[in-house]
Amino acid sequence: MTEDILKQIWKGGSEKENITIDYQKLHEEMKSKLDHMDQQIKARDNREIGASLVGMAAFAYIGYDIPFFWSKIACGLMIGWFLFVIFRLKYQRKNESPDPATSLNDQLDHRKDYLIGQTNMIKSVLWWYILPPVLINALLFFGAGDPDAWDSLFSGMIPDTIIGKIGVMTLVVALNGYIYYLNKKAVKNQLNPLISNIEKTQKDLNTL
Amino acid sequence: MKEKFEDVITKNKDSIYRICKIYASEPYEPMDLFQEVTFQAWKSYERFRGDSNVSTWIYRVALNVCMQVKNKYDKVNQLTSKLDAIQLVMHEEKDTLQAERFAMLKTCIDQLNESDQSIIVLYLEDLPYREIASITGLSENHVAVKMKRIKAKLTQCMTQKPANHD
Repeated sequence: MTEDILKQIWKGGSEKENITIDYQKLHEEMKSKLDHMDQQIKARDNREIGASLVGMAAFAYIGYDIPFFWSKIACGLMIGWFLFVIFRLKYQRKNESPDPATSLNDQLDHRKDYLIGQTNMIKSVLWWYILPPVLINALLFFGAGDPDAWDSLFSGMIPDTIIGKIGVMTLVVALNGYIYYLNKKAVKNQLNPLISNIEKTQKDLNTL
Repeated sequence: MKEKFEDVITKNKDSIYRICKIYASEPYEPMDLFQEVTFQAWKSYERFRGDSNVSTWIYRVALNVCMQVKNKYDKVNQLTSKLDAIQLVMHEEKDTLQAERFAMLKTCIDQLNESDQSIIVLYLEDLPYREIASITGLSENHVAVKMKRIKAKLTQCMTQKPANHD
């Protein structure tokens, strides 16, 4: 079979289909989709920042109001942690969309870097997303003394017995443990195979 | 002077669609990929300075977008929703033998690895090695050596296939 025949077969591959494009409508649609995507990103950012601000405000108030030293420290740490999480997520999302007009090799490099970044972020989730709030909560609960000494709307949040505190902490640990398990599973089942696939393509592409 | 985006798409729509046909796999149809390529090309066109051929540029976008969609880890909601302005009309009365031969070619291309697939589709689009090298980021010599091997594999597959059907 000659190369010309192969090319002829290839070119005939779109013979049965005729694509029609209404360009005026297309421009309107694409512009509206782009606006919609921008709005979605802004809404997501606003939601995350809003939720963090509410959390920070609540902990700032509790930290100011609570009479127990270690619980005050815990509230300060929690505010710092909220700020760190916002920064970390924003930084991670910076490189999501490269220009699709770069060469295939560059595109694969970029895609691999992005997926490795995602993997590292998820792998390290224990140290920056799960352990800090667990430890800070432990400091908050166990650092608190007699709740009767604190006259506030929030005082009901703090269990007054050791058993109660251990119970609440067990729930917090179980919940965070589950989040950790889901993240590990995503790395193993989704990200690692994609990275291997990209590495294989890069190797195939650059090997004669 | 930079061509109008509409002209670039009109001129290259069949080529883009053929590439999309090769990369389309569940849950996406070739038309979904075509729409995604058009949308991403439109977003990127502003940054295109004309320092390469416009065809090189559009092939890069098509190939990268198609491969990227294939390598997404969360396939749900990763594509922009349908663009109603782009419609596909099927001509059922057209040559069915040609369609069968294309299906056979697609099967043979599917058997190549991803890197070889990207190179062969550009070759079948009649692009010179220089342009293929620029799209893939390889040297011209590298492309030439690879092409020799890929063409041999493809030809062998294509000549074996009909025998298998007998």
